[in-house]
Amino acid sequence: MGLKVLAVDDSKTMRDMVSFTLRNAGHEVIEGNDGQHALSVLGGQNVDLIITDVNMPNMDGLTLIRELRGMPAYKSTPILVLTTEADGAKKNEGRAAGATGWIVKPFNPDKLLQVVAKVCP
Amino acid sequence: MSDLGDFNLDQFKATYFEECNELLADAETRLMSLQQSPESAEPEDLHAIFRAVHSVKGGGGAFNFDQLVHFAHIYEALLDSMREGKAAVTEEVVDLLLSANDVLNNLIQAAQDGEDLPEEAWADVAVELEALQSGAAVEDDEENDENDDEIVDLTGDDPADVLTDGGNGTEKIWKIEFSPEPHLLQYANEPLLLIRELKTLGSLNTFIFTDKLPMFGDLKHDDIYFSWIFFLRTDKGQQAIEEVFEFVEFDCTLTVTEAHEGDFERLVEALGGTASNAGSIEADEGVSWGLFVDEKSKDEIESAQGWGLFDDDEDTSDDPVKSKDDIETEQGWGLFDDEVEKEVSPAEDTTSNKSSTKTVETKPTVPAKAKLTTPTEAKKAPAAKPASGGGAAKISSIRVDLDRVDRLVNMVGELVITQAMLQQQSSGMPIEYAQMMKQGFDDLAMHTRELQDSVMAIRMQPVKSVFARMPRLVRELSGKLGKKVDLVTSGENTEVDKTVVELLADPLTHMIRNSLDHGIETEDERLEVGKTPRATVHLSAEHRGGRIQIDIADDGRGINRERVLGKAIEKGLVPENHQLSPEEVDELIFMPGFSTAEEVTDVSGRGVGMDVVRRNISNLGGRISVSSVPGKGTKFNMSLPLTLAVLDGMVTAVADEKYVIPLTAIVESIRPEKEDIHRLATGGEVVFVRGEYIRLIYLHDVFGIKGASEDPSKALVVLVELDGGGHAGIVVDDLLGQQQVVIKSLEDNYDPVPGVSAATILGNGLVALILDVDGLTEMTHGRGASRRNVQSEKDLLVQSEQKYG
Amino acid sequence: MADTNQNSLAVANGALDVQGEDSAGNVEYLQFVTFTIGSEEYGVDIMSVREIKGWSETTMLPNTPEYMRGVLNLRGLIVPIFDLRCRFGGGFTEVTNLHVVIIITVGERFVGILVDAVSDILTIEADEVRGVPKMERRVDNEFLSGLVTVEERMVALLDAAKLFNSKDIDQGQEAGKALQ
Repeated sequence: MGLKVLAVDDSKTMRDMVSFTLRNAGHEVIEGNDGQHALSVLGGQNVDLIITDVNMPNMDGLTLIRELRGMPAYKSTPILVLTTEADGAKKNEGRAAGATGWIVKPFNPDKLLQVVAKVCP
Repeated sequence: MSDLGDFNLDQFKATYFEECNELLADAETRLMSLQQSPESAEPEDLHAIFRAVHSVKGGGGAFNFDQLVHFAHIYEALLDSMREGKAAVTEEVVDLLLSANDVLNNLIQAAQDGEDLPEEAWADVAVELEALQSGAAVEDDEENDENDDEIVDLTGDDPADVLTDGGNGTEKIWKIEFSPEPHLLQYANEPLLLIRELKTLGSLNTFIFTDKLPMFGDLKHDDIYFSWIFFLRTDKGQQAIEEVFEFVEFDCTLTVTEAHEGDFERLVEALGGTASNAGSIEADEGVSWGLFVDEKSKDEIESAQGWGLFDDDEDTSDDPVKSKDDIETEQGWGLFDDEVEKEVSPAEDTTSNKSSTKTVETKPTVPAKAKLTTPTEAKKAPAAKPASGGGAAKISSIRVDLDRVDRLVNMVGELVITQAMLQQQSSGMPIEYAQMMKQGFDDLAMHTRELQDSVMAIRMQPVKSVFARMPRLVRELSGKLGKKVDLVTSGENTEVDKTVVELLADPLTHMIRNSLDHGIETEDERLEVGKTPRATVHLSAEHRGGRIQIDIADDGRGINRERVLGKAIEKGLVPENHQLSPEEVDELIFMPGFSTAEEVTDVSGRGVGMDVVRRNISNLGGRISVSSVPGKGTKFNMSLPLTLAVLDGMVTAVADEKYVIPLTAIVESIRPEKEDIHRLATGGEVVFVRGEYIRLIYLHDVFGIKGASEDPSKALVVLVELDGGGHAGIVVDDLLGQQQVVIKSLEDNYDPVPGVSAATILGNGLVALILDVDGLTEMTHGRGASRRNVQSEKDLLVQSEQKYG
Repeated sequence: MADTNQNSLAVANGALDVQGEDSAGNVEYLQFVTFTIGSEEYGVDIMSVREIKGWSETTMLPNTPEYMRGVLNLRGLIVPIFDLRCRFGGGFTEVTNLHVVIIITVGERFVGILVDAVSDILTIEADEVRGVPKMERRVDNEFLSGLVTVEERMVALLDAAKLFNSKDIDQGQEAGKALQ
C-alpha cells in the first residue's frame, strides 16, 4: 500500500519533515537535494509521486518538472510542488511546467497526506 | 484528527537551526562580496541569498516562529524584487540587506532560545526593507501582504480546516458541474481521485456524461472525454468543494451551486426514462450518462443484478462520514457493468485499504469504453520500462550523528592500543616466530594508522563555519565603535576536528573584539598618521607542522607598551622598575587580572580577559602568542592541534613512571654538560643552551617520584616551547620513543591534576600521563602559591613515606 | 566498556528481581557486596558495583592524597583507585595479588576502591539497618550510611556518594569540582 515518493528540497529541515511524515504513513521516501541531484537519485526508477521544492540551487523545481515531463517514465507521475508562495502566479508557473498540484509550506502532516491522497490512487 | 500522534516538530528544530546558520552564513558571505562591487552583482548570488532566506522562512513557518517568518517574508520580498531586476543593487541596499541578515540571525537565535525579540530589534530594518520594496514594486507589495496573511493562517492550529472549510453543521445539497478539458489527465490529475475526495465531504450522487467520447479510432489515450454532475450533500461550504478541484481549476469548467429543490429529481427523471438498458443511453437532450454509486452499496446493486435508483438521498445520514451499515442500507442507484467492475477492482482494493477507517469511497465504475483512459494504467505502463535503470541513488554526502563518529573514533583508538600491545608482547617471542609475525604486524600497524586517519578525517571540518561568523561581528562592532574596518579572511577551507572548530569561536570572537576595541584607531586618528581611513583585519588559517595556525592581524596602532606596563605595575602584576623586553611586555596582556581597557567596555566584553582566552586555548592543547609593532599593528597567532582525539607524543621515563610529552611542544632533547647548569639564587636551576638560559623542571621533584636521577648531566633534558614563546627544560631519565597516543580524559572519573593534561594507554596496557608543559612550568615558577602547594603536597608524601615506607 | 555495562546490567537485574518480590510483600530488601579491610567488614550497595577485579598495577597521579592510588586502565576507561584503608586512617595498604579492587559508580563516574578481600553478598531487610552512633569514634563515620549486624558480625555500610563527594578528596585542587 505504501507509495514510493521522491522528495526534493534543498532544505534538510523540509526534507526531513516531508520524509518523516510520509514514512510514518507507510510510504517509502527517497530524497534529493536539488533538481539535478533528484534526477541522479531517481536514475529512471519508478516512483509513485514526486514532491519538489521550487527554489533550489543547481536546478530549480520548475526545471526539474519540465525535465521529468520530458521523460517517458515520469510523463504521468503525479508531481506536487512545495511552495511558500500562495499566490496564483507561482501555482500557474508550476502548472505550466507540468505539476499536478501544490502544497503550500508550511504544511502540517495531515495536510500533506491529504494532498498526497488527492493525487495518488 | 491526525493519525500521526507522534509527529513532534521539535525533532526537526535542531536540523532547522543548524541549517539556518549555514544558510545565513552563506548569504552573508555573498552579501559581503556584493558589498565590494554592488554594480556587478552576480545573479546567482542574489538567487542564493533569496533561497537562503526563503528556506529560513519556510522552515520557520512550520515551527510557528511567526516573528521570524514575518521578517523573513519582508526581507525575501525585497530580495525577490532585486533578483528580478525590479530593485537596484547599491551599496546602501546591500548594507541594509546585511543588517536584515543580522536581524534574521537574531530572530533565529531568539527562536532557538524560545523567545521573541522586542519589536524595536527588527521593526526599523523591516520598515526600511518595506520602503525599498514598495518603491520597487508597489503592486507586488499588496500581493505579498496577502501572502503574509495566508501564511499566518496556515500556521494556525488546524490548517486542515482551511482545506475542508470546517463543518458548520448545516447541511446543504450542492450541485457540482465538472467538465474537464481534454488535457486534464496530462499532468497526472485524475477525476477518480477528485470524486473520491468529494465523497469524503458528504454523501454523493454522481452522473457521468460520455457524450464527447469519440469513435474508438479517434480516441487519444491521454485525453479525457467525460464530464460529470455531482450532487453532494454536505455541511461543508462551497470553498471546501472548490478546493477539491484546486489542482485542476485551470483545466476544467467548474460550477458549484446550491442545488434547488427538485434539481436532482429532474435530472434523474430526464435520464431515468431511458435508463432501462445497461450501458450508456442517448437521452433526449443528447447527453449520455452513467451513474456511479457508493462501493459499499455495490453488494446491493449486485444482488439487484444491474442497476437501480436511489430513492433520493433524503435518508442519507447527517454524518458526512457514514458507517458501513448506513451505507449498505442506503439505496443507491446507478448503472452497473459486471465486466468493468472486474477491471477496476484491483485499484479499488488499494484505495479502500488506504483510507479504510474514515472515508467512504465513491467507486466510479468506469464504463467499458473508458477503460483505456484509466489514468492509473496510462501512467503505469510507460513507467514500468525504465524501472530497471538501477535506481542507485548517488548521494555525495550524508549527515552522521556526532555520537556515532565518536564511537568509531573510540573504537579505533582501542584498536590502536591493542595493536601496539600485541606488537610489544610479540617482541618477547622466540626469534623465529617474531620474524614471521613482523610483516603481519607491520601491515596491521599501517592499516590501523590509515584507519585512524580516515576516521579522524570524518570529523574534520573547514573552519569556514566559524570564520563566517566573524564578518558580522566586525560589522556590528565597527558600527558601534564608529571605526571603519574591513575583514579579510583566507584559508577558510582549512580543516580541523569538528570539536576544535566549535571551540574556536569564542577565542576568535574575543581576539577580534580586542583588535577592534584596542588595536584599531578611529578614522581620524588613522588619517592623522597617514593611514588609510579603513582599517583591515586579516583572519587566516593554515596547516603547519601538523597543527592549525590561525592568525588575526590588524593594521592598528599596535600594543601600547607603556600603558600595558604601567597597568601591570599598578595592578601589582610586575614589580616596579622591573626590566622587561618589549615582547615580555606584550605578553603581559595574557596575565590573569590584566585588562588594558580603561573600563570594561561592552565591546571588549564582560570582564573576560586575554588570560581566559589563553587558558581555554591551552586547554585544547593549543598556544597563543602576540606580536606587535607600534604604529603598524598587532598580530595574534593561535596554534591548535588538528584533533583532540590523538596526539603524537614522546614517551619518557622518570624512575618507573612513564610520561608522554606532546611532540608539538618539543624543540629538542639534550644531555647537558655539568658546567652548563647553573643554580639560581632564588632556587631552581637553569641550563645554558645556545645563548639562552632555560629553566629546568625536574619532573621527579615536581611530581614527587622516588628513585629518579637527580643529576641532569646524567639525565636528559627535553626542551619544550611554552605558550608565550619561552622555553623550559623538562628533566627526565630516559626517552623511550615517539608514539601516537589516544587521548583519554582523566576528568571523566577524576579531577584535573596540575601538570597533567590527560592520560593515555600504552602498549603494555598501563596508563601513562600526558604532560601539560605550561602547567608544569606554572607549578614551578612565577606563581608562588602553586609552588607552595606542591611543596606541601611533597611534604605530605614524605611524611607518608616515613609513616608507611 | 561494553563488558562493564553488561556486568553491571547483570548485577543490577539481580538486585531488581529481589526488590521486585519485596514490593509485593511490602518488605524492602537491600543488597550489599561486603568486603573486608583488616578486621573490619564493610558493605557497598550492589547497585553501584560494576566489577570486582584483582589488584593490578596503577599509574600514580602526582600530587594527590596518599589514599589516591593512581589510575588504571579498565578497558579503555581511566579509573582512579582509592585505598580505603588509608582513606579511613588505617594506613597505606601494602598491596599483594590477593588484594581486590571493587569498581563502583558514583554518579556518572567510575571509581575503584582497594580493599583486602570481598566476602559476600548480603541481603537484608531495610529496617535491619541501624544508624551510625554519633559517639563512636570512627574515622569512617561520616562515610557510612548505617550499620548492620549479621551473625554477630558488624557490617558498616558505605555511602559512596559521600565518600567521593567530600572535599578533601581533591585536596589542594578545586574542591568545587568534586565527584558526584
